[in-house]
Amino acid sequence: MKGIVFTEFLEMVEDKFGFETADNIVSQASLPSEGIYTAVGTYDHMEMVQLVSNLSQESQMEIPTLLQAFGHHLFSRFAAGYGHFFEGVPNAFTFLSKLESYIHIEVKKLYPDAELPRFDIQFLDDQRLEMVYHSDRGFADFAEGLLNGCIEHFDENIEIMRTNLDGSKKVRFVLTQHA
Amino acid sequence: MDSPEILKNIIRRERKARKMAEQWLEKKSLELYLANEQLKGMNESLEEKILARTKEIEASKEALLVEKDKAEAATRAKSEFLSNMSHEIRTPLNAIMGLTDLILQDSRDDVAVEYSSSIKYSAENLLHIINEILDFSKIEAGKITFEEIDFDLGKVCKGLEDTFRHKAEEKSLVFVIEQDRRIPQIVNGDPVKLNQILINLIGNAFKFTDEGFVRVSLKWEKQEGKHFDLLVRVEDSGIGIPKAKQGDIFQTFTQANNSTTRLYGGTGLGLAITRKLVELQRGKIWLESEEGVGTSFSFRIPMREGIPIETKEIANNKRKEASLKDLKVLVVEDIAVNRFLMKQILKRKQIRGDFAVNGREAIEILSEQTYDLVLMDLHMPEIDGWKATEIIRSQDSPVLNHEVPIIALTADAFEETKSKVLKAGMDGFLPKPVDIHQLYDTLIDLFAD
Repeated sequence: MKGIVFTEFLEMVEDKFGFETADNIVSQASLPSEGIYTAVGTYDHMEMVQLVSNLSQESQMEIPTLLQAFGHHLFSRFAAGYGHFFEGVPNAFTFLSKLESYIHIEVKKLYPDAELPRFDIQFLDDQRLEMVYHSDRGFADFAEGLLNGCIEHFDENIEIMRTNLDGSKKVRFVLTQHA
Repeated sequence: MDSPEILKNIIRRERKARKMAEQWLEKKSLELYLANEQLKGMNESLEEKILARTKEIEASKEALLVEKDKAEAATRAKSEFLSNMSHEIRTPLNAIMGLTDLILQDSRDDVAVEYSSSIKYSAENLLHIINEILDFSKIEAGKITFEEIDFDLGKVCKGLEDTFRHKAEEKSLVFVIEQDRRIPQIVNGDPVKLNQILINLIGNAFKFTDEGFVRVSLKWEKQEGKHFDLLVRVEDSGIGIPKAKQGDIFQTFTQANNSTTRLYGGTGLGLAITRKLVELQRGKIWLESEEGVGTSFSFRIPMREGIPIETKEIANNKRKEASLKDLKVLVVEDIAVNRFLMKQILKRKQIRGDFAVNGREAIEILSEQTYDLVLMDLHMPEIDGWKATEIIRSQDSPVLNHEVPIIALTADAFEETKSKVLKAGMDGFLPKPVDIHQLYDTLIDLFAD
């Protein structure tokens, strides 16, 4: 998993839950990286699982909720840090439909070892975009958070309908655009 | 302890610095990636270009090969033409030189002798020129080969002294050959080519010197083991070569001066041939000269010590000339004047000569009578010398003596002809124009015992 996910996660924890919580969830976990992350590194996704689960205990909040919130937060950070992905992109559907064909490819260029989730994306009609998430990581909640972040970024009225096809490893999202 | 606010500020700054570093890193890796991609693209296009160029080169190589074949064919044709011309010129020269020799030996008329001497001199000159042109064409065609045989260097020097003694006396020049005593008596190399080189250089020295001397010195320079360098210097006190001309004097058709040709004659091939003969033996040739003072040509060729052989003194040929008397010889020769010449030459030694005008007639005669020797021309109409020899040697032919000695007489000047002749079952080879003394010597060697 890309380092930026970790750095942004810890920053979010510091912001929302305080330095003490951030320090606790790192200390309580036994992390190969010792909780030292850099955006340009790559780390075992299990570390994220531990960190999120520790945060869940500390904060008494459900893991899916935390992951969704983090995804939502992370998207805004991406939008700020990687403006060039958004140049000439008018709306969420355009951006999302370019996810596999452009954005993931660009990420792979810089980080050939990045293991990205796969999305099967297709327009069901003008108003509806289907995205099927595939990942052994089972971070569908995180993905859902990112989708929400995206919708908020473009400030659109889009509703997400989620169907779990194989736990959280294969999940179908249908995004419906409302006027 | 510092206040939490300060620590937070510090962390914020550190974090910002880290993020800037990370962004910078990402930017750089993207740049690197793009540069790499560009390089890959360039590499591919380079490879494509190389492929295209390789194809072009292959194509032009093929074209060149075709051109090369053409050029080689042209060279072959030229060299064949030259060798044919040489043959055609040698054939009448054979008669001219042979008959002139006979006049010189027989005539008591001073005027006739004087004229004949001039004819002989001119004919020899002509032969020399033909030989040079032929040599040059052989060198050009890469057809020249070098022998590595043991020979007596002293004898070569002695031969040169004999050849040029007359010339030295004629021009009142001092002519000496000095030989380093360290040079082994028997050396290993190509005596014919060495002789040719020396004759060329000494001949030139005489040609361009009117008073003073021509001096030849042979020196020995040790190399590894049995190897040594033979260092030869041919020095004269002649007209010299102008500095400006010294550089290209070894080039083909170059003489010091155009008027040189008019004044001194020559093909302008002599030194080019000499240089090639030296260089093809891994040697080196150079010159020093001062106008009006003299010229010295030096060359160096690698040689080897030969194995000294028991030199059994060859018995005095004169004593054995008697054995040639009443020898019965069949001369096979298609050209009438050459038959006439041979008749005179044989008559002189009281050798009985019969004549056949071609191979077919020769076989007819040999089927009726036996002979001690056949002198066989090679180029003849109907049945040539090669075919005639094959028939004579064949047990199925009606020829009475299949073992009769056959000596080839030919105006073919190629060395290969000599070995071809022996392979074809003949016993010897004499080049035309026939040297009378050489012919007698060959016969004496054959019938001495």
